[in-house]
Amino acid sequence: MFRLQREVISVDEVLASVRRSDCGAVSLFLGTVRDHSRGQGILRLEYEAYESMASRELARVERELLERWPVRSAAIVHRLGSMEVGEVSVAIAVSSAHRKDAFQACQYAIDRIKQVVPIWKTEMTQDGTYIIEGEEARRAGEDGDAAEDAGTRAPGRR
Amino acid sequence: MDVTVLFFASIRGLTGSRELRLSLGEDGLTLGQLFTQLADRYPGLSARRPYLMMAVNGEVRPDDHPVRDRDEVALLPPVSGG
Repeated sequence: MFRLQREVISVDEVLASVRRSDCGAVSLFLGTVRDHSRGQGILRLEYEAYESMASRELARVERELLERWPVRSAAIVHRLGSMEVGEVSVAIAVSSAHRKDAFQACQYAIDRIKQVVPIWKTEMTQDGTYIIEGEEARRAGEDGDAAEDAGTRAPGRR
Repeated sequence: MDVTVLFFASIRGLTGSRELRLSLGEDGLTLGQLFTQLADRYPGLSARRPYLMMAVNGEVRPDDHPVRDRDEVALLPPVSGG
């Protein structure tokens, strides 16, 4: 199962969708809205998507993990629109007979989603609005500005 | 040849719209040539070229990919979902 939605994600529903009696392991990943980014406090996030292509890419990610590991069921749900600190932006659940495959496939799914799915995050901070594109944060509304390094992988580095 | 071009994230801010419908006289225009025409229309777009991927009907394609009538082209900055 894969889905884009604007509504609050029900983690219970995502988990329930992969539970099977022939599976002894269920792995769950939740991406949640963090209260800081690039040294600034986050007020809220917005996610936009090229929806038709994003749905197809989510389907592709699901297919890839089902092909590469002996997992029995997977669910990937990504939320779009505006969300507050603490809310779930993406949920991935995978079930398999044994735990190693569930762990690995779940990690693969989130890593892959971050690479290929046409979804973009915008951060509303106390300092202004920043559109995140890969490693860069572009201040919204200012064309031609030099992009600032988002530093999302190295807090404190500018 | 009629083509729809979609803009996302910072490119949407740069062009001022989500979508552009173009009627292009020539057939067999490549994706790269289409981008050049867009860059003529939108100042600042050509500077972004190294950061953009382009998709045709939801699949990323190279610059020499031929654009056809009723294709949906999208300019994709580096993604930040998940």
